Amino acid sequence: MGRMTFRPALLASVLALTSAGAADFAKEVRPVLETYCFKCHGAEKAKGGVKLHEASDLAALYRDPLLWDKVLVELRDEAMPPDDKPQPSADERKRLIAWLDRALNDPDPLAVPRDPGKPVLHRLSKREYNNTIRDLLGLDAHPADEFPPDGGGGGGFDNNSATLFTPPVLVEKYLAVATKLLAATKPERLIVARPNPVLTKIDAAKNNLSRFVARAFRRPVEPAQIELLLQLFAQADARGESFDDAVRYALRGVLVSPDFLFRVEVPRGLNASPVSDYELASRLSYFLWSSMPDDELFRVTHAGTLRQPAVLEAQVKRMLLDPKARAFAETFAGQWLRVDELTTSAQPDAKRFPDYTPALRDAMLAEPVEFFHALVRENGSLLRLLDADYTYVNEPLAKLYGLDGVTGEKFQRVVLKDRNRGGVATMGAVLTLTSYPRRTSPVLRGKWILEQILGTPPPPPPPLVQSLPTNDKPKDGLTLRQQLEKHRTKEECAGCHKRLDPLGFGLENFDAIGRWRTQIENQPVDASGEMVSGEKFNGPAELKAILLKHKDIFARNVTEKMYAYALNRGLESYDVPTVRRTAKTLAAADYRVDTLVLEIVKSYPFQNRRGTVAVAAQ
Amino acid sequence: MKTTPLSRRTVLKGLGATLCLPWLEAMRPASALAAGAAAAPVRMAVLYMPNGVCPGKWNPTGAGRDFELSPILQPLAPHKDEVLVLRNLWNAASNTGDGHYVKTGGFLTGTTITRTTGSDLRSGAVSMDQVAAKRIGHMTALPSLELGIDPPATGVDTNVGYTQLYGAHISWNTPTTPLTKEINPRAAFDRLFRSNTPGRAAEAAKDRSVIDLVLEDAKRLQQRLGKDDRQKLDEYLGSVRGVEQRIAFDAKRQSETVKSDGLAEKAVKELGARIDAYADPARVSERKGDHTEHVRLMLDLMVLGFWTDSTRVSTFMFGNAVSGRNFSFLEGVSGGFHEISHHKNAPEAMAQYERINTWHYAQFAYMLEKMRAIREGERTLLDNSMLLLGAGMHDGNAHDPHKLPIVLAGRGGGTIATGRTLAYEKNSPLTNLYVSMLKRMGTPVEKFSDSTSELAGLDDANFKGLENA
Repeated sequence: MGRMTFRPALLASVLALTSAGAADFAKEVRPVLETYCFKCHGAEKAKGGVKLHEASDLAALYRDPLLWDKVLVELRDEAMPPDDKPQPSADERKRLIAWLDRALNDPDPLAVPRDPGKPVLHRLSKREYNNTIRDLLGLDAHPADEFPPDGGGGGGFDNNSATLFTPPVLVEKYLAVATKLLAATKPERLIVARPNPVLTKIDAAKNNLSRFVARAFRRPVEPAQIELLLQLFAQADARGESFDDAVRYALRGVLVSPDFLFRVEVPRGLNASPVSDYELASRLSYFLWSSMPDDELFRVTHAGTLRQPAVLEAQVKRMLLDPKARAFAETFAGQWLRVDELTTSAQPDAKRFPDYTPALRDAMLAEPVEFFHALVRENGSLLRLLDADYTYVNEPLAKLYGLDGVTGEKFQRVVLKDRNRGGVATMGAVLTLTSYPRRTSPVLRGKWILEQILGTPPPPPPPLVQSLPTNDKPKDGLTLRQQLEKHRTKEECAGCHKRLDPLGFGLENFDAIGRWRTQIENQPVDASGEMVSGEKFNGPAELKAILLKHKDIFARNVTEKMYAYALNRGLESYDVPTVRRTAKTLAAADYRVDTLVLEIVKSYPFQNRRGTVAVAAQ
Repeated sequence: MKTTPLSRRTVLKGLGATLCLPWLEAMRPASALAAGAAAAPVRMAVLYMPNGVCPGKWNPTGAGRDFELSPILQPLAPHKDEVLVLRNLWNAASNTGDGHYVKTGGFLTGTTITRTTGSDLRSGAVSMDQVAAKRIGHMTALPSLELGIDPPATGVDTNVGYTQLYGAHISWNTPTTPLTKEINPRAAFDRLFRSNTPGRAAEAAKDRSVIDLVLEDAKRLQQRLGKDDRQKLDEYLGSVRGVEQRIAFDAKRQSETVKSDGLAEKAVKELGARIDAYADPARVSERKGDHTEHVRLMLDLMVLGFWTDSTRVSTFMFGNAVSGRNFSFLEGVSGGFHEISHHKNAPEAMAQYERINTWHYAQFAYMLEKMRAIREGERTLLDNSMLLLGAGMHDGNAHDPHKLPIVLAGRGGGTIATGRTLAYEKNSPLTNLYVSMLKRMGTPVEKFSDSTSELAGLDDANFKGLENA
């Protein structure tokens, strides 16, 4: 879909389309739903918590597009209605799918509400604080490592504004580190002017403060704020402190000011409106660097050219090539793929897996980051995350993967001749994270693929589920796989597990720390499976080939995740049209990283901010 | 870890020998000293266990004073006379939602948390520990101390639609703001005892001027922001004021002429040394084997925090909700806690579950032992405290919110007749216990969430509760 312009003719045709769509819904869609779905998902029953009967028009779809997405997926996979219930005809199913697909994936932007989302004052996360201090003071001090951990939420990232709290213990830390950081900073970084015969003490202090504060607050500063900070300077001066120390004392006030600790954005008027250029610059730099803007970004912002499309694009491309973009790989990829949980969640049994050393664990953590960072630098196709003929390893990881000729701790790119390895799902971190201490878990691995790769998490298991043994020794003559298969014969389990388990079975050639294996407890590995769609595979390589066929689901999921990361919030129903359009653009551009990042940067929610009046569409 | 300019060791090195202040000498106001009437303050701690307890292995037998500890409660045998085992309590508001988060985030609020993936996080109420802290917190250096072991996960449990944040917090400063818990023993130690370092007072005075200015500046910002943003700024301002109060408190305390308690000083130094050994960078990579030590360090911090009257209110989480911690370090256990808690009545899994549960009570007993050994006048620190150890569910296999496993240790300053098991009517509100505890903290409330009254019989040694429960 092209860029929307508000020409009256187009508007009229769009409106016509919309009303046609609404008529379609009442005439074509609802009756089919009524016949085949409402019995279990209607006024009387809401199986799985899903009710569809309240949808009386097209607008209902946009109120909960994610629910209708699931409906679409279920219909496509022919997972619903269940086999033992009346089935729609092939034609009915086809029409329903086509209609939902159009309404959801090619939505008319005027038919859906536009809303940049709820504004929440964003406290710098620990990582953002560390990086900002690094760039502001030139100190690689990582002071935030001693701060209490940040939580997370929204899209599953720790930069989610709503869940970044500021407890007293954190303010204590801010104060404590401010003094020490300033003491450790090279004087020439803080003090550019000293009093001399033509420059009074106060004016010299003012010069230093003005320069520093503008960078620390990431915007031009009102004189009144400088005057306030000068009071601190004057206090220290009166105490008899040296000029430099008195300036440092005033800067302590800067480092604990909310203008520094928070990414302050000021609402302009009652309605949604574009953020200021400086606010946009910060959005950009915290998105791609988890840090403050650099001099070059400040320069174009100050020049007022940041919003020119060519300038914006050039800045984004420059920033992605900057080494600081590693923070993007670490945070976005690390948390999207959940591999950063390796240190806290995964605990392979030390006796069973003596090879799982801290060095190997750290290597596992680094691999997806190295891989993603390289993808960003090369502007590669995001599909390489699904499958690639290369990866990044160091010696401990190469040993685990059975690759020769890699020595040392440093990571290097290696070609993977065995195509069973390659892509994030076959990386050690993921395979370990999705295992129990003493055995693999096809269920957890399947769930990981559904959630992290395809973005279609399964519903929770019912209470009182059958649990499986903690190791993979056969039980009652059944292998772990056979026990799982037995589990799936139960009706209440089958719905999800026929979706989960096969994905995990496909990875059974990798043990609980991601090592290749051909036998489990002296039985040959059975890594074959059949998807709900009927697609069959045997082994990781074939599984990945099937995942690649579903690349558009994957691309949409990456798009959603990256939007949530960039916007510092979870996505809402009003974001769905934006996300869908971006996903389409991405597919048309060979799934290049740059395209996705640029589309997000140019998007309505990234560029705009709600006003002080809540949007009516809410 | 990277070298930072902020040497943590300097804090310990500088720990003053004369400024460690147990409650008796430090806290009694001069007027009270003169009157000779000051009683030691009552302290309160809540210790939370994830994943529930093994069914059939937790309930004691008997009623009132005449009871036998269950297998899981065996580690409490040396303290049988100092605990109450409370049965049939529950949090009715947690009988919904999901298996874990709603039973964790709402454990101390008695409310139903709002299902959310991150926006509009809401427990619905201030937690009971914070109700106390808000009213008596000004009397100690820290209004309250939140400790734990696991960092909060950044993810959303897409299975159930809750941010995992809910599973990482039981203390709520406001209905929408959970209190971050400290999981790093070194950081918690520094926070508790750092104000004792020489030269700190002068710096603190300077910090105070900075804070005054920041508060003034922030007011201007407040006017420029919209309503939604303002909530976060208010939270920041509240915390800044809290720090201001602490600085003022420390300054006042240091100006008082006090006598130090050699025993407490020694204990602080010893704990500092243990934490140093634990946090030694050379050993950090093997940390996972040190789970018991990590827990004990945190419990010791609580004990010392109480002993030195640095705080009177504290919470501790043995693990976050759904904790999958590998308990293979225990004899006869192989696997993760959550996985094992879903035992499906398989005897082998249940035996492992029981061993993990029992380990939790052994750590609790360790804490009780420490507190019992500390004299406060005629009583012990344990006598002057109330320590609630509990979980948000009974059988983890069924996520059963009924019959919560609740133990209350300590005599609450002589107002609790311990050494009994008390069974109440089925589905009695857990919040009744909170009402009773808050009363003993000197911070009474008429009602707390769904409470109906105080919990009956806590001070009546003859009260037996229901028999044959």
